[in-house]
Amino acid sequence: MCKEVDVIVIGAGGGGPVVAKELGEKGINVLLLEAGPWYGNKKWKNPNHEHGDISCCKIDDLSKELLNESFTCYENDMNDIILGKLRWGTADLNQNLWERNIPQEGFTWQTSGVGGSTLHYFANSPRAYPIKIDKEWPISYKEMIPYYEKVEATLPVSQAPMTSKEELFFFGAKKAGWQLIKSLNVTSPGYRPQNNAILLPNPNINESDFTFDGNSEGCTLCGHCVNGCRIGPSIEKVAKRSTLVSYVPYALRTGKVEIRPNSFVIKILTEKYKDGLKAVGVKFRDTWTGKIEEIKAKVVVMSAGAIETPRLWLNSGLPNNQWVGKGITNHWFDCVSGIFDEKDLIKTIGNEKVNPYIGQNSAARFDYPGLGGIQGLGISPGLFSTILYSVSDVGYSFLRKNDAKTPWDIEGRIVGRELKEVMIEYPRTLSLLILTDDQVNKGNGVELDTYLRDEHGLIPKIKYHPSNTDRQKRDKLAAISADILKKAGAKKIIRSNLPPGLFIHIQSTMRIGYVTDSNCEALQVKRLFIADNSVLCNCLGGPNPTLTTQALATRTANKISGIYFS
Amino acid sequence: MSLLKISKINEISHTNETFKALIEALAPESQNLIVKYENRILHEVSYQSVYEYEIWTLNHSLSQTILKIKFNINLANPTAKMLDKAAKQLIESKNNKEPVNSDILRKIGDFAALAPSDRLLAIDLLEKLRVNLSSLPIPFWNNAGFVLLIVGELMMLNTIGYYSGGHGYDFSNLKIGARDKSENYYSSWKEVGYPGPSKGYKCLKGYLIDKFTE
Repeated sequence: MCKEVDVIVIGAGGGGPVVAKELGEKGINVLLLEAGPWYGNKKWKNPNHEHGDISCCKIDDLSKELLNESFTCYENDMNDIILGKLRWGTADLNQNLWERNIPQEGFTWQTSGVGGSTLHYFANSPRAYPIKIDKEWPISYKEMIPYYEKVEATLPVSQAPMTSKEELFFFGAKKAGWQLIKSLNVTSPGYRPQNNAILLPNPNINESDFTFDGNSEGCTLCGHCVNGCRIGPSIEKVAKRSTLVSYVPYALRTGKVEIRPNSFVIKILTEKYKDGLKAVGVKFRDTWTGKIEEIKAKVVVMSAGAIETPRLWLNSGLPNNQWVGKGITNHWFDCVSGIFDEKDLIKTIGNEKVNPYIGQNSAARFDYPGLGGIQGLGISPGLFSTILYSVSDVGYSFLRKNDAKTPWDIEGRIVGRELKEVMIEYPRTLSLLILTDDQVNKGNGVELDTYLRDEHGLIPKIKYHPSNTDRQKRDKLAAISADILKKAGAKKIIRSNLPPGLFIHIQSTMRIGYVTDSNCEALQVKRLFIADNSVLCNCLGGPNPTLTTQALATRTANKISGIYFS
Repeated sequence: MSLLKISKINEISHTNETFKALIEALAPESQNLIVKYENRILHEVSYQSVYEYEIWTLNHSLSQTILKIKFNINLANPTAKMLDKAAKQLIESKNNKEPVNSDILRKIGDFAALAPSDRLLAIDLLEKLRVNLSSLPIPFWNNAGFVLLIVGELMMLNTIGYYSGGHGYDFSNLKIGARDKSENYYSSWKEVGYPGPSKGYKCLKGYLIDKFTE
């Protein structure tokens, strides 16, 4: 250990490193425990093959060269469910994945490791819709604004640049009659560029003498956001601002934060306190050796994600609370794609191809408070074909009689010759990803499986069935998406109709106001705080959750400092 | 050779052939597309390399811990048997559209004996849970949620395996964490016009607005 621990933070994903950095800057000693590997650190030169060191607390240990070796930009190297470096499992690729019981079609797309799911996220950083916080949260949107501003300045967050696919999206949205939104605080429908956590491209990027060597500062529009991103002159200046390259280095620079990868927390330790309990430490397991250790601290922060945080609560035997694990929201995704003719594309964007692999993975969006959001989706062909054409809630397209009234030509999973034909049109396809404003439903959520367990205890079982209202909202967004694509000139429209069990934006399983008080401290366990997507009170109305989690985590760090370390 | 060993070899062979039949139905060879897309160079990606990816992944995706010991659970063999059960039900209910190949039925199994389009109908029965769940092998036996999960995974592995280059790994000599990419790796990318990983593009088209406001 580098120092005595004041606060233990569990999980180095989107929220944990924010708490660590904020507390470290206030002079509080933090131990940040992460279950997965650490890429780009001299103490773990072969993070998937050997244990390496125990922990790190020095900024000098970060290595861009090692990050380059790990993040290859090949989608299968990075995102394969079993062998991908951004998988959900131990650093040791010889060990199996961490199991989840999902009794429906789908999967959870999460990443273990320092940086967590921000390693593969698109870095989209919109604020929540104000109405969704003001109506349902125990704190107001106005109170959140200074914390949003702080995170937006720290990452930093800025307007996403356009390439052909964004230009085509905006062309269609404008032609469909929607307004351009220029405010960060969205109260009415319209389209806008993403506000994202990716460093702006060099303004001279199009010049013939500008060379791409992977070490220049700023986004190079290479299209590998989902594969981790390794563009930049140093770890701290990598273009996509996952916490691996932003809040983690900032935390190390405080000199007060120690980070230990390969450490899976299996129990929250508590003691009796007045009429209830207080957290006093954690028990964790080294994922390489299996050795179990205990560490004590004055405060514990759970940032293990919206599945593992409730699982840890339940496996620790913490007090019953009817909302622990309950109320999961997931933005019930959908995709609508348009295939264009070359001559039409030349007219609208001056190019015969959209080329979905060029530019940031999702740099344009459409917002509709009350329904949800729509965002551009441009990724390499493996993930593209899988998300768009091979997963569906309505089965095979060839078995469906398409209703002439629907605004799409094909709906459902595409296979065989038809799959080959639509994928050959990949360079001329524009795809839109729908994020539904799904409702909190107490019947949905995370619980412990009755008997299936892994080395960390009973595994989580996830149940999520959207309501009819959710379905109606999503159908409206699908119709709007199809209209935007048609107005942009698409000749063929394809709706995926994705199943509810595709878990990507996993939220609201430990809701503020229900499992925690308004400071994000657990109602039933003092000195135990939550700082991840689980503590969000709802799905924010559709905007991507990471920025709001990070803003709330900044606020939570202030509260921890004020209550226990003032 | 012991009867047990012969039985095991037969089971592996059955699984391999059943998965080849699955991939043939999901992602057929590209030859018949050449006429339509004569101006594109179509590169043959044999479905035979995708089936290996699918089997390997299924056999490494599930484990269980009993008395603190972790056991890997091979899923490919019971999955192949589950496909056969669904195919058998399709045949017995006379809902197959094309004739069944009796020679393949005898040598391999019900699923592979169906025409490719009928294999998709058999999978559709599983997805709609219109099979007798009590006839399925463990771990699918009376486990509707797990049937849906794995059948969905079969579909996803097909596309991610084919279009991400996963089929291009050398599965005959696969070492976890040290995968060499064979010549096959890039072929499906060429087919769809993806140039592969790049360090950047000179494609900046500016910004839509000056800046966001509060």
